[in-house]
Amino acid sequence: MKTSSVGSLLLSTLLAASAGAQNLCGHSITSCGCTITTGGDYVVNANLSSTQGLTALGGCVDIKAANTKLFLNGYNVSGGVSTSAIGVHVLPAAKYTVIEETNATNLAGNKHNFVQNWTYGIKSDADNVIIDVDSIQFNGVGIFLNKTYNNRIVGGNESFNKQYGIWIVGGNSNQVNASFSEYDGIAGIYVGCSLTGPSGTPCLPAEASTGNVIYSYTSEDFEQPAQPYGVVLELNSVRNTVMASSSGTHLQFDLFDGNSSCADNVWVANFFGTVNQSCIH
Amino acid sequence: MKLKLFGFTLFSLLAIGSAHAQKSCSASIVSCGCSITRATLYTIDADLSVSQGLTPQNACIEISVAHAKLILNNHAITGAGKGIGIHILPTGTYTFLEGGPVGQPMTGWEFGIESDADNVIIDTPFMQGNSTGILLKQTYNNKVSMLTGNIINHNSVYGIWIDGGNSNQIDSVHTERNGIAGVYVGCSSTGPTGTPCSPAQVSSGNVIYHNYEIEDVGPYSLVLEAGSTRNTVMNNIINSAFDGNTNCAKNLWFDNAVTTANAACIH
Repeated sequence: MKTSSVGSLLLSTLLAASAGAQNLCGHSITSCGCTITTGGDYVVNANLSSTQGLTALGGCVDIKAANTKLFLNGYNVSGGVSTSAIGVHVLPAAKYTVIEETNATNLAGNKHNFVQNWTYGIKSDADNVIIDVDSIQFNGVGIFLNKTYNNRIVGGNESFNKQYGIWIVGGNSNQVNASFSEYDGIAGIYVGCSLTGPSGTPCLPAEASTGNVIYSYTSEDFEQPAQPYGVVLELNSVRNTVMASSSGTHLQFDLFDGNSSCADNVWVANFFGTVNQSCIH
Repeated sequence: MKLKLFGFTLFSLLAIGSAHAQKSCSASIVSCGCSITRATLYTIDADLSVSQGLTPQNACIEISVAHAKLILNNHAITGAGKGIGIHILPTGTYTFLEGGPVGQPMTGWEFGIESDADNVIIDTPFMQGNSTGILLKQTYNNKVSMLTGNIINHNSVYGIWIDGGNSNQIDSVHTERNGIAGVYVGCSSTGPTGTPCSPAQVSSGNVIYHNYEIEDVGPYSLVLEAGSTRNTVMNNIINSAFDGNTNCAKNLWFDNAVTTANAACIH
């Protein structure tokens, strides 16, 4: 019995140690599989790949510390080896994180970089996060805001993702502007709780996404229609604003509101071809 | 004596009434001189001019209530050198100001847009020919951006001025040919040669990013004034960058394409 207890204790200790083991990121990051645990500036200095390993939570880079700035610095962050993995995962404690991808020098030279081939290219579980990443493509979902407050997505191209370019679930007061999508599997932006679009299960009232603002956003399949929806506010996602955005040539609706008479959502000054309700302007 | 006292009281009441008189804006705004007092959607549906009258605080439009949305709808808002085009008062938190696609300019004001409130979003219209295009005055978490094609130019002092604010963000804007600087973070109305902020007024935690055309060719394009610290400037194309703090203090300049800079700590 005593031996059994010692064995059990040893096993528990080993398991705890294993679960707690994490490869800490240096301020210069050159491979996947590390975690940022101290706020500060971190710079990626090589292309990152899931083949280099992942964190215990399945991320290429996990961020656990508040006030972190992660500069992807023109390098690719590529997945593909796991069916459930995340390019950059901002965990709940990491509020006020900034993720910055393309540097202006590269952009001036028309050099683009990708966060690609992940289940979620970037997932944020934290409040007050800024995501300024140029190309987040060929993922399941490009950017996933999971019950966040005041996240800001600026200037990205979230295209060719299997489900959504940007998915906001259960969040409030997040903002998307100056971003673009085309050829996403279901929608450029989806605000709601279903992984299969507006034909799926809506949010529970307690999970509703409210107060989000989408403006100066563009979703358009330029060559031929392929993406079913441009921007979707799912049933029970209310008090959101979609303004001064452009959405066109989609298979179902360019703009879609699942609430009767748009509930308290504001759709105004948008450019579009097809909508599912006359309350969308 | 009684008559005199009565007259004085009447005069005082009239003066107070006049000072407090304000005309509430209707949902469709067609002239200057009104105040937004309801948390709902307003649109400008005609060109506005200072000649139509101003509010008691010298603005074409004031916003005094939280959660209002104002769409400029491509109409001109024209001043005559003084006053404020759109003034978001401290109580106007969570205002959303939508400039819309390229339209008529907001021009001829001391401040085209002044925000004194927290958590405001300004999707900037075409701003030209003001003293300063946009003033963020001791604000927290304001966000200034613009649609492609709009521009902030030919304002005689600054394009955008952050005066004593923190955690504000400027992204996706295009500035050029403003008198002193396209973007200025500090407390002087005469640029970095002027008086720096007092310690209680410092601007910190502001993030200026993803601006690919801060192209002002005047004295400066982007300035972080002495005493403005812990700000972040990243991923911008800047013609002339200036940090008034020794070794940039705790300002972070990173990933910018800068033509000229006054300090080696600007990257």
